[in-house]
Amino acid sequence: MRYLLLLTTDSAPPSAALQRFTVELIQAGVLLAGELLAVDGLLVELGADGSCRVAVAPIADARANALWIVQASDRAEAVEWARRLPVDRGRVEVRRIVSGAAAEA
Amino acid sequence: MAEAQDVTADEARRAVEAVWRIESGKLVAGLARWTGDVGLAEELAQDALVAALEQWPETGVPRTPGAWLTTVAKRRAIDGWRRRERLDERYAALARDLEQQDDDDPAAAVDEEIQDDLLRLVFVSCHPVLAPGARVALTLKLLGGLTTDEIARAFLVPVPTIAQRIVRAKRTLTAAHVPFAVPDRADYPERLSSVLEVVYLIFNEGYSATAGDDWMRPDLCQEALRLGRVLAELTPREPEVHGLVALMEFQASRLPARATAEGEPILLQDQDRTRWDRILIGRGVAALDRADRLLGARGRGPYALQAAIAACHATAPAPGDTDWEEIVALYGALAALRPSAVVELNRAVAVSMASGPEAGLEVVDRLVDDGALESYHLLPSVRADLLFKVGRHAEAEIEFERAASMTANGRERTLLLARAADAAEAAAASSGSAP
Repeated sequence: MRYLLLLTTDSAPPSAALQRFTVELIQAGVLLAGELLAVDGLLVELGADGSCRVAVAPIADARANALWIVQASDRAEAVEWARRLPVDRGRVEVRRIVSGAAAEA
Repeated sequence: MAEAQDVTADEARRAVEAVWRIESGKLVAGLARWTGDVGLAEELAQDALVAALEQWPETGVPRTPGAWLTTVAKRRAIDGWRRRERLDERYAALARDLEQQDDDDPAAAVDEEIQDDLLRLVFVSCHPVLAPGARVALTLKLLGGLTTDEIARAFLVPVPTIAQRIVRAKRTLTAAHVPFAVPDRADYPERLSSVLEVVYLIFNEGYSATAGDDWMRPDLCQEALRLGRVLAELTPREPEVHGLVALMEFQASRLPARATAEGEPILLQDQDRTRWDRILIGRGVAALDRADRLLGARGRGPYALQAAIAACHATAPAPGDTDWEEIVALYGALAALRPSAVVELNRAVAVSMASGPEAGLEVVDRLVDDGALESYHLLPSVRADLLFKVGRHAEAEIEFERAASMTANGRERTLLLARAADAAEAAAASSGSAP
């Protein structure tokens, strides 16, 4: 199975810590993708009437700053990886990926 | 209420098992270096797992679970040795060692050291003194962290068979005094190819099963891929390791498209390419690139060549875009490296795609003249297909029927007999229209 780990923190975590975590995933043979996200972003709002509004996303205190896609046998294993993120305070959203090959393997 | 508790207990057990899957290889490897005995290391690791299953549901998973497991395994080992009256000198030394280390943070075990131990464990698990089946079982058990039950289920054999295979394998390693070490330079290439063979055996065991039959089998492909990727980090300078990883990534990318919902196999040319896994294809391209960058003056090895062939298919947006000329060249290189009638038959198919059925038929006929593959149903099957394409329908019918009589697979037989009937009809039509 395949899971998304999305890390949200109040302040940018030290990149060395995120890198160490990523290397751990690589050495365990489970990393499929890992990316850092820029602080600033855009918000594209789609209206029911077909309208589209683009705005600068408000810079909130807590924001997603990195994501990983990992191969795991089950939810508990994905959670265990999330638990190992070397950041002091933060939130990790763990979501199963259900499309494509991820759905069957 | 009771049900809620069960759910929590179940979650707690799953959390322990998750740690186990991540840590067991490193744990066994570290303990094997400590004791010099892989079998003993595995038993100690199991003791630590039992302790974790008892304690973690109460205490929660410790912050550094790997270090916790290592410490518990070592303490239990020493307690056990002390209970036996004579503590032999070797174990006494280990016990003293542990007491001295106790003040240090066990988590401080250098990452590099763990990786070295893991590599030693890979080589020992795949040691040539063991039969191939034993290597596979031991590798899945020690490095994959799979239970005996899971391995048995994956290989569709009874649990006691696997249990016995593992016990015997550990005994064989001890009896043969196999050192817990990476082989020296003279033996390295042969030992590494044994490791690659084991990983690919595991992969193929999962890959050759049709989808939907058993849920563990695609998992076996995932497990082989994981092992392959771990190995690629342990031996980053070995091109064939990256070649094998690339080959498995490409093949696994097709898993979702290889069979119908009913489990009927779908030929490569007929697969829905939108269902191929883009992430795995991307990883395959990267792994093959890594292999190629390491090769320098050396040519690609058999795994890298097979990966390159798989890449030609994986990166073609539609069947018509396939670079068959390149595939012919790659099969030629593979045949030069590992002469094999099966490779030659594959080359014949590629030649027919690149240069037409007549050219392919010439290659197949040479194989027939050589008397190769006499009991391999794909030879008459391929020949029949090419004969049909060049309009020699009557001969095609005979070959399709011969292929049908040779295959052990019922679905395939039905398909081949249907094609034989088509060929017969075409033969009748063309003889009827002849003046």
